[in-house]
Amino acid sequence: MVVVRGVSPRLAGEALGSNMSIQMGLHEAPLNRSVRIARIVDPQTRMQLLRLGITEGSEVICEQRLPFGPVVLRHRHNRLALGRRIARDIHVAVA
Amino acid sequence: MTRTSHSEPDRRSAVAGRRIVLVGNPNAGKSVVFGAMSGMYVDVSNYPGTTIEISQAPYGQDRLQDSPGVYGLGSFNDEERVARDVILQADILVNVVDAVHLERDLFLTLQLLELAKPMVVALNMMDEAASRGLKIDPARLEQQLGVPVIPTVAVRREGIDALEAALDRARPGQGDPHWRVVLDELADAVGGRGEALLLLEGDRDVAARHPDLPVEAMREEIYQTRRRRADAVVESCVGPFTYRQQVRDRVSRLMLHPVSGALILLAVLWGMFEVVGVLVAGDLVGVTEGMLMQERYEPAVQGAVGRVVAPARYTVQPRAPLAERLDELADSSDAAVARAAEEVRQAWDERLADQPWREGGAWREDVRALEQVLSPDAQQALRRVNAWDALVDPSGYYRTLRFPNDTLAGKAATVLAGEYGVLTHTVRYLVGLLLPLVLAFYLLLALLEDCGYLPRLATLTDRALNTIGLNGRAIIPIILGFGCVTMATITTRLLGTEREKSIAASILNFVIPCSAQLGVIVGILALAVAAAGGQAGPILLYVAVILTILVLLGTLLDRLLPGRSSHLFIELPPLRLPRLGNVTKKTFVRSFAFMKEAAPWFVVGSLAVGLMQVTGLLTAARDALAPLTERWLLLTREAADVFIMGLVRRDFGAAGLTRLANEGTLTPYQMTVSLIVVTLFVPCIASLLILVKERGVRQAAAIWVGTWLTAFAVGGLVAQALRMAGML
Repeated sequence: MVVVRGVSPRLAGEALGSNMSIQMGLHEAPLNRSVRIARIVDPQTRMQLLRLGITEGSEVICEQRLPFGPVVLRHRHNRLALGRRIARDIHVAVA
Repeated sequence: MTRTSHSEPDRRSAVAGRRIVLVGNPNAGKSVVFGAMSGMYVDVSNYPGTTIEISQAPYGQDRLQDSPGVYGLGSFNDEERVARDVILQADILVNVVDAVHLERDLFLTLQLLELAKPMVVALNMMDEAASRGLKIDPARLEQQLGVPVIPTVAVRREGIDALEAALDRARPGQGDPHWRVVLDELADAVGGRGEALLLLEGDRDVAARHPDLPVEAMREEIYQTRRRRADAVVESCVGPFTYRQQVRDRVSRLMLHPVSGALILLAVLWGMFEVVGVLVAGDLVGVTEGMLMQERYEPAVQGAVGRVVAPARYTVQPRAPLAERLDELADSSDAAVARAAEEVRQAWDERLADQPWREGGAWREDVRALEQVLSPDAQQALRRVNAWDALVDPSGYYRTLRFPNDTLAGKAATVLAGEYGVLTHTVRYLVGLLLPLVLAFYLLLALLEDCGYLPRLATLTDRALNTIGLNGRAIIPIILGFGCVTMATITTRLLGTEREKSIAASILNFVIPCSAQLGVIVGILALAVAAAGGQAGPILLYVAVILTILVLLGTLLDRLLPGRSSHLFIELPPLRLPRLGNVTKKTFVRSFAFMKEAAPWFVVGSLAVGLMQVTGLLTAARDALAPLTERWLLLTREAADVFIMGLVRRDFGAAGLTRLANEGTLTPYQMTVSLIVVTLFVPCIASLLILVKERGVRQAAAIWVGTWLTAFAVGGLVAQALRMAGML
């Protein structure tokens, strides 16, 4: 598994073709595509997300991303807005 | 709110005096269920030692209690702590669960099961689940959880009767077998399963209660197993998940997109402005009639005070237009007219000035009576220049009241019922101005909250607020700040860290103009623009300076204050139409809570100024400030009045400015400088006192001193710069 920071969504999309699973921060995840949570770095965030039903392994969809701003993610029917700092420390892989 | 009919009172009185607590995630519909179950006698009060409000109501022989919406029990924030404490003391739990978000809500449910308290689950929002194609099996869920599960649609009161009937079947349910042994053992040691669970989860407050028990916190493990169990339950009780996008999801998207979001925000702001404008201005007019009705209340009070304490005297004066007109006439080249003007002046002095008190509108008769008093020659002359009708029309005059300032009784009377009298002026202000304003803003807030726009607004503005050390949540106090800064300062409680509360409170009290000022500011800027020949310069300058100070202050505080601010982590509930009942209830509850909390301080402030007035302190302060105003701010001497009055009430300061502006003694840019100073100047006394209460004396004092310095420094710099540029 390769952990790459600052991967552009297009590159991530291209990598889909290969067997590599590229990880990126949630704030860089491709929009409207199912991604799997690989790692949640901050324990506090991990706890808060867990209560809401999101853990490492959950599939979420990054619906919107505000310029330099929060990320809107959807898990099943639940929508959350996470500040960019928090989103940066959630590592996801394109499912 | 009508009471549901209960046919068998005995059924519930079997176990008398039970505490039935509603618990659930935010937005699960808890308050709606509470409303459906409770009657009219809802008591809303602060949980002791906190600022969190708890609703309670009698329920037959028992007591129904609502708890703050939480995602879990613990000590993440005040809501969780209060919920935890309320729940631990409950006899029966009613867990309201959102059927659409079962995987989320069940986390709390499973945690509650560990408490081994009799419980019932209300599976709410079944209608929304159906519309999203979710198939849930309540019977299966009941079997897995071990407690009665009642499907409900609380907003339509469906299932509420079944829910109430189920209360007697409430039972402890099935906790996680994984933890049962550990919990049972620990429960014996600490006196209760609830304590045991929280101790194991690492709750700091509970751990502090048992310092002798070094229990290793196993929160992570417990949470993970709970999560897995919740997922398993959802897997077995809910049909296959397919995401169905609804129209509201598209609208939600639009709200969050920077461009369309900004447009929507502008529309919302415009709507707010209209509503508040109508409500407050309309109410203002209504209350001016009410004030005219207060012109029955006030005179009555003043009369009473006059009878009991010290007799009042009043002076009837011409309003500005009429006074100016007379000045013109006095300088007229037509001798007859000039003579007539002199006669009028004399008549005013003799018949309208310093008159002994009379009830109600009697003074208007005095004005009309001028007709008889003035000579026929004068009348002829004045009719010739078309000034007669205006002269004898009472609406061109206003009356000011004065209690004698030389006796102690007179001073007491002034403090009570004089210009800034506690009984007259303050009451009028609180009821006529503040209350409609607070109602309007809380109404707007409740509407935005109920339809789900508020969290989206917080998301949209998060980035901008990050620059000043805050996150999107702070938009709420900022919006309220444009209503009443005192109200907004109280709302800073909902921010994540002390640091953010300080930054927000500072910004509110330094920069944000409350609506009392805002109307006047807009009016004077319009005047300034007109006086500047239509140039937008004054507006641009004002906005630029204020915004700059806002950003500078925020950035400075962000750098200087220790610690780190919290980041946005907010749920975006599905958009929906606001429910009228919920909105009005929230509005009234919050408005009255605010009035209860803040009104005394407005009274104190008014009292303080009244005392300052009668002791001559007010005049002394004006004189002391005058040189600064004249030489540094390059304004007129009278402008000092404005700033002093701003100490009491922000709108005084601004209104005083209107008077000056109307008199034409200030140039457009002088007006702008005064507006800048007025905006940046100290918070009003009520705001200051609430600031002391919320943030402590040191912060409040720092802010107070800071605003003095900032207001005069910035105002002066701008004034001097303008003078050098030859624009003043």
